Amino acid sequence: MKKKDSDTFRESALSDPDSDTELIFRIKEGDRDALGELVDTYQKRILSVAYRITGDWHAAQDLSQEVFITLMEKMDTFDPERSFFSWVYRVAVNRSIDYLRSRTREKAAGNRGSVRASVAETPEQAMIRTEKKEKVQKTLARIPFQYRTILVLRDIEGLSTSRIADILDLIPATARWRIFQARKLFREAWDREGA
Amino acid sequence: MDCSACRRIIPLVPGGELDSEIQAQALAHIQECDQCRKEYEQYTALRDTLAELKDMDDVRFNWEQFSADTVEKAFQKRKTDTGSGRTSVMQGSNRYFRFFMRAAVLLITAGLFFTAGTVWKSHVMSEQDSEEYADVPAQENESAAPDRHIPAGEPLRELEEWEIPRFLKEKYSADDLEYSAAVPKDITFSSNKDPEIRTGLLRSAWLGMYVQDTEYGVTVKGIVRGGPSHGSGIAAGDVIISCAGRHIANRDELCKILASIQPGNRVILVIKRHGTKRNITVTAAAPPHHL
Repeated sequence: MKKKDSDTFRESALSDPDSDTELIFRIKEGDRDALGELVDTYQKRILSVAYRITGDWHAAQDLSQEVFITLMEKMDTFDPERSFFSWVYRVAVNRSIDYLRSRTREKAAGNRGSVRASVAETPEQAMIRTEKKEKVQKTLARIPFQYRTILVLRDIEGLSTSRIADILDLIPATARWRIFQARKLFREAWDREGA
Repeated sequence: MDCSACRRIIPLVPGGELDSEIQAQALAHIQECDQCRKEYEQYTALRDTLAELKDMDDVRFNWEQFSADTVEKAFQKRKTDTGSGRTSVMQGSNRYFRFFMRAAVLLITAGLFFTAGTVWKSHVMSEQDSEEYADVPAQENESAAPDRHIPAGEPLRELEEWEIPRFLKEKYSADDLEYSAAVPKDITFSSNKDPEIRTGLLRSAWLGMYVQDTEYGVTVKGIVRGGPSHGSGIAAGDVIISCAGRHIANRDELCKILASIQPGNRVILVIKRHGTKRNITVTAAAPPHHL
């Protein structure tokens, strides 16, 4: 099947490569304001992605800060030929998945006391309660995190298939197949949730 | 496009991930088919519902404070990493320099370990060899007794208990050794203090390779893993032309030459491989006890 990458998605000015390159250069030079601009540009998106994947608002806050700390650590090794935008999202997704895995391990070890609030108890209190959004979040938590991640990137963040393939290090055909599966799984879960 | 084909791709229709031609066919079918349209509308509605989550503006959260905290933490990290908070070209190259230095140190350490391992292994091998003679009385070692020659075929009881090689002890019972077993080949006990040489004839050089007489000459059929020839460059299929400077025509001649060489000595083999002659040096060892 010939690849078609829809351009109807909402990759906003976030992905302006020129402005990112300049920001990176300034950050490397120790410009704190540039770091502030980078955080302003990406933090809301990163926090959103981490929250939608983990379903834990407090953990998502920590994770989003860790993402920027990781970016700072690795800034010198960043390949300017590659997309900074994809890199930021990749770090965010990987951190979130690592968190989920560690939580699963802790649960398996019976160490429930130290586990943060699960999806059911996630403090949506921190957000204005909207019943529908809560239901969507709960449904998302019902599907495996590999599919949840791709659904978050595609249908919530509105990234293109090729961008998602770049972030998750997949070939576009695999990314499309996962989108297909993720939507089917989400729909089944949504129907069960509504029933 | 029929219903079954449409159902197989319908989750991808609202998102437009399909090839434009297939997308158009699917949409055309959806317009005609009520059931598929219903499915399509459900997927579209779910996609729109998910898209609503993107908006984080209704979150009651102090974004400014949070961003300021993040900047502070990340900037501190940057400062810690670079020392001054600035990265210069020099610091960048220092990073690479450090990387290469670490790699070099690792390589050197690995080399040292390898060398130490080899030395230790050879030390252990020589200790194992001498263990066979560990029960030799000290005074015997130091005595200047005359050479004693025992020809093949003599009963083993002619030998002192400690003089009987371990492989014979393992092969025969005590009674056999006492009354019936014979010395397998000529043995000369030298007055030399070195216990390895005292029983020299039973300890001919061992190269750790299997050889066979073929039409091409003495041909190597295999190499004993971990043996003296292993890693020396000799390989199965090589034809051995000469050993220790003496031409050899068959396996027996090779064995005779090796019998005259003491373990630990270097043996130069001339081999022929693909019509080309090569010199290969192998350090002969004592044969393992099971041989």
